[in-house]
Amino acid sequence: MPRFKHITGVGVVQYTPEEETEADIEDAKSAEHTKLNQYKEDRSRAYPSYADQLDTIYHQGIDAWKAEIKAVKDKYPKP
Amino acid sequence: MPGVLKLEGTNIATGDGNGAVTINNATLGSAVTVPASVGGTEVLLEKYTANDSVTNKIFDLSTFSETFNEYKLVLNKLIPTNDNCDINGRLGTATGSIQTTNYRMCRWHTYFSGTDQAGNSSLYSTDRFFLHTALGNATGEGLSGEMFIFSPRNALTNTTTSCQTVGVYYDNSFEYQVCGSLNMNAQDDKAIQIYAESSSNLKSGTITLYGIRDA
Repeated sequence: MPRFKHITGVGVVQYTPEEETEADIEDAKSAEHTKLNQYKEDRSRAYPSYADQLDTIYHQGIDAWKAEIKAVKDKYPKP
Repeated sequence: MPGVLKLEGTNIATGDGNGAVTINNATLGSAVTVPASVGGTEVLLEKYTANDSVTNKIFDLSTFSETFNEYKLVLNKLIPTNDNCDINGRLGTATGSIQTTNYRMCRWHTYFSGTDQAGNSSLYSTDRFFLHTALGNATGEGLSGEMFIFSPRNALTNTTTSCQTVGVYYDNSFEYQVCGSLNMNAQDDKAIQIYAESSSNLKSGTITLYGIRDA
């Protein structure tokens, strides 16, 4: 499917064949990067807030905190 | 273009071609200069409305008659066509010469899952000046926020940016993000590109470009 861009003062322009090739390469790189790094994003969103983590350590100890963190790491494993 | 306003043969005001006007009124005793910023410091340059047929928008700063030290982009409900899609920003010396390396970008973001405060995270990138990840494509999702771009047209300095955005994710969680960047190449960055990742188009929403007068 052809790609298009909108340029100020020009309007909508279709990608040149060279630009399409570059975009394909970039998309492949991006997909690979996402595949290798998505776990970081997923983990960062799943970890409790810093305040909650400190609260867990204070009330339940380090082992409870480690179990909580491990559950997230296990849910989103490093590829 | 400079101009002169006359009344009954007398010069009333002259413009410098860049928005500043000097009023020549004998009753004032001396000429009074009205700065270009009177009436507002933000100058609307272009408003782009996404329409689901375009992958990326490239603003060409060289097409505008006035050059500014600072520019601002406002993104309003910018929604990608594909779900779980990143929206990014890059600079370039021309619309056909977008820079894909040599940035220093870092961002910090915090999430609200819908029921609780979720984690915080910081990430970096070297191939773009802006990145907001995993945006949703449903109505009400997508990206909103503002970006400041400092001295892009000064070829002797490195362009810097400062952005704060809010995004609604593909899983309906919500993210607030701050992001700053430096272009390691000191150059005249005439082009600002906002694009969706992975060949997604920009489905809907607006991107508005302002120039900011500082005098």
